[in-house]
Amino acid sequence: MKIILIALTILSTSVQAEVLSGNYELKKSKVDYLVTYLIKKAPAESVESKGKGECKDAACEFLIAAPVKSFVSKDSNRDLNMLGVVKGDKFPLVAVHVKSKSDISSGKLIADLEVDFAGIKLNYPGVVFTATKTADGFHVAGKFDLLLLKHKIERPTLLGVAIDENVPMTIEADWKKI
Amino acid sequence: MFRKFMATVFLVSIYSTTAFAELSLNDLGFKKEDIKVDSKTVQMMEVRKNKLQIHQKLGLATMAAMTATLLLSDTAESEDGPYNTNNAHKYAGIATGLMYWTTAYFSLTAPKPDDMKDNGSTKIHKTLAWVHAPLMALVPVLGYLHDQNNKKGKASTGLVSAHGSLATVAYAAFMAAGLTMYFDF
Repeated sequence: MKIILIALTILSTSVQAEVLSGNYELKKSKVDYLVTYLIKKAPAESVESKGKGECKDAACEFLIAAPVKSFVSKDSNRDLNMLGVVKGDKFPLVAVHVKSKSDISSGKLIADLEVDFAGIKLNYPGVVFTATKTADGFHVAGKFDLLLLKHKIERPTLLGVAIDENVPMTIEADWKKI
Repeated sequence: MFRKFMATVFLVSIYSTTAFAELSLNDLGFKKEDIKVDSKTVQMMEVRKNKLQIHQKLGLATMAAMTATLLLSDTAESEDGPYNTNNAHKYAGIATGLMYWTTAYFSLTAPKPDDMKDNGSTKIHKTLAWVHAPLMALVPVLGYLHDQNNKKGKASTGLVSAHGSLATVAYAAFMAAGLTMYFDF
């Protein structure tokens, strides 16, 4: 009787749990950054990311990348300047390697990111994404601060004042099971 | 028996290593031409950035000089003032003109990649140049003619009499052009 009860508990938990499994491909995404000058903010976004991922044995790994030249703001002068600032000719992609648990029952996905940007790989542990299952995969959205100095980025200036060292990055992505 | 089974499951889950196939950027399907950033463009942008930074700083200095010139204009008519303010306005105007065209030089000679389109703040900034640049060519000439008239005791008429008004329009357009680069509209 005791065993049956435990088995039922385990079974009911596994029915409720939303666990990612199998292979995934990035269906649609929006990645944006926000540069903060002394008295103004300049957002830019890219919708040209590509990504793949795999979930098994309670863990997931994803790889997402976006061409640096795909980030577009309201100002093409700023966008072309950005290519030089991030050494886009040498490092044309910004890539994010994501490791997380596969259980998204809580509606959250806590991930360790390894961001390869401007030729420097840097770890951003414990980034929290909201995660929801969709008909053909799952949707995640999250935010973290890209640390320009640690990626050895020479920060642009306006009136001699450099932009903020922390650049908030917002990621929204729809993943499709393949 | 059940306890032994659960303990085994627990240990296996702890010690098992999850082996993932190596995820590689090559698998993502980017085409080289789609991601390539032309190094010539980057080099050109470096030159452009340096020139535009000088343009930015000189522009600010010109704003200050232009403000001073405008403030001195009220007393420009009085020849017999204790500080000879007429000349002060004239010299401030000359300095403003020199600074203005030097500022413009750094913008006009900054290289621009073919695929660069002016949009956003830059577009407003450049559109306003079509207002203040012709006026900054015209206003000093009108100022000179107005001064000549003053010296001859003649009242200025026509366009020459509009020296002050046109200078104010140039000032407003120039200040607005500067502000577009510092604020979002």
